[in-house]
Parts: sequence; C-alpha cells; structure tokens
Amino acid sequence: MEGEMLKGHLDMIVLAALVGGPAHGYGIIQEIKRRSGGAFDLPEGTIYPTLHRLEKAGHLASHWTTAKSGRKRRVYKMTRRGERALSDHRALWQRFADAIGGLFGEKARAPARTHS
Amino acid sequence: MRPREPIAEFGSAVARELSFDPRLARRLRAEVEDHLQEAVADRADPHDENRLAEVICAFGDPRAFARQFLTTALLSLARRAAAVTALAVIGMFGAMEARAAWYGWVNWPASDHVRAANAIGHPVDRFAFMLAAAFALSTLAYVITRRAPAHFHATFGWEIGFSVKLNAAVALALMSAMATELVLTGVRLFEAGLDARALVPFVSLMLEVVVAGGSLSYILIMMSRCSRALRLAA
Repeated sequence: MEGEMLKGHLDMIVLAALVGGPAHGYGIIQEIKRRSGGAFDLPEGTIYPTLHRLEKAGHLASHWTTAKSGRKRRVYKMTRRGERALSDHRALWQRFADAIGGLFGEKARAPARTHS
Repeated sequence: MRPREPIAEFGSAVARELSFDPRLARRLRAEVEDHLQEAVADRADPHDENRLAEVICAFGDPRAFARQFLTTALLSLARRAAAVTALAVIGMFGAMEARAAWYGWVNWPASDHVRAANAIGHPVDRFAFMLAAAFALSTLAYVITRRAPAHFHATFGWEIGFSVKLNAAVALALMSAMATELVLTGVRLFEAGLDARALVPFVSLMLEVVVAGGSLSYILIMMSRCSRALRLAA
C-alpha cells in the first residue's frame, strides 16, 4: 500500500496494533504487518516518531525492560486515553468507510445519464 | 550481547545527530539498536553480513531518522527553558519576600545610608523584577500555545528563536534585579557586621545569586542546543 496513504493513519494503526498488549517498536511493526496480511509494510524508522508523539499526547505509556537477550528494551502500552482515542478513530473510520462504500455502491447502480 | 558493529555505528550516528537533546539521544539510540538487533535475529541467517546491511538499509538514513524528531524536540527544549526561567522568577520572589519579612520580624530598621540606597535601588530592583516576571509569563504562554509541525519550516524555527530570546530577556532582567539586591542588601549587611540577624538575608541573597546565575547558564546552554538542532534542519 502507498506509504503516503498510510502516513495519515499511522496513529490509528499503531494504537490498533497495541490492542493485544504491550510491545516494543519492532514488535509493533511485525504486528501491523501480520494483522494487515502484509499490506502495511511500513518503513521501519517511521514508527518511532509516531510512538513518541502518541506518548507525549498521553495515548501511550512506555518503560524500559530487559529483553531475553539482555538488551535494554522500551516497551509501549496503551493508556485509557489511548483506548478512547482508538475508539473515536474506529467510529470515524467506520463512518468514512460506510460513506465511501455507499458512494461506490451508488455509482455502480446509478443509471447512465442521458442528454436529451 | 553487545550490538554488532554496524548496528552500534548506526546507533552512534543517530545519537550524534540528536546531541542537542542528550536524553532523547540516549533513548533513541537504545531503541534503534534493540530494533536492529531484533530485526537481524528475525532473519533466516542472522550472521549473513548482507542481511545486516539490508536491515540497516530498511531502517533508513540516521540523519533523516533524527530529523523526524526535530520539531517535537525543539519545542520540548523551549518549554523546558520557559519552565526553568519561570521557576527562577518564583524562587527569586520567595527569597526577596523572605528577606523583607525577616527584617520586619527581627525589627531591623533601615539606617539613613540604607534608606538612601533603597530610594535609588528599590525602583530599579522592582522594575527589573517586574520585567522578568512579565517576560517569563509571556514566554510560558507563547511556548504553551505553539504546536510542533510534522516537518520543520522557517516559521517554526523563528518561533523557537523568539522564545529563546524571550528567555534570555528573563534571565538578564533577573540578573539586573539580583545585582541591585546584592548592593542594597550588601549595604545593610556591611553596617550590621557579624550579627546573627544577618544570616537569613545573607542566605537569601546567595540563593538569589544561584537562581539568577543558574537560569542565565541554563539559557546559554539552551541557546547552544537550539543552534545545534537548527543545523540538523539545514
């Protein structure tokens, strides 16, 4: 899918990827790829500004943990505010998708205009 | 396990680009190195050098990566500086009020010399302090109402520069107020000599020197960091 198309929806995509529980940056990218059936294959560096922005907005919280390998790892989880924001995004997206679906459906059913 | 060399180099490059915000630089360096290590380990053959290069390439250019944090980091620096100068104003106000209250409490009347010095010094001190308070409030209101754009642009750079100048004005006004206080309290302490009553004014005066000097040093550091950050935007 077009990268530019995804950029406008990154906040919603990242929040949705964290519904299953806390994850680190690479884990979030993998989750997005897996749940979108490989359609959303984001450039890897693009996720971090979004994570930091969402954290500043209070939609995510993060803390350091130690990975099995012994490396320091920053893990992100959704906050209550993030859950509310995702719910708003979801409702907005549903309305948008319904409207586009209706538009496409109507277009397909619309009779050809004739000029008399 | 230590990060493999190209990954550590990439992490260092990211940290270097973000050196204007050491806390952010440290955090992103650790996050990026962990990300790249994980991505390499996820590949079929993690020891294949080509795969390592592929992983780094997929992540992107360190400068371009760092640039994505520029606007939020700059705004955060400007907000931190405004908060520090506002706290400095409050700290100085507290020290001045404590000293004035102490003079009343220990019944320490001003001598003729002190009154003469106060007649000139007090209006200067008051004006400088009011100026500092007004600038500090304006700076806080200004930086709180700014928003970090998705991409850096000249107008945003100007806004950050303006907030730094406002902060510098606060620090200079605080230094002027502190210098005046230093003279006025100095005259009183000189007259009192080694008197136990002088302890509170002396300590409060030292506190003012530390607060005003500290805020000026902090603003100078912020100015240097902002100019380093603006180089990343170029």
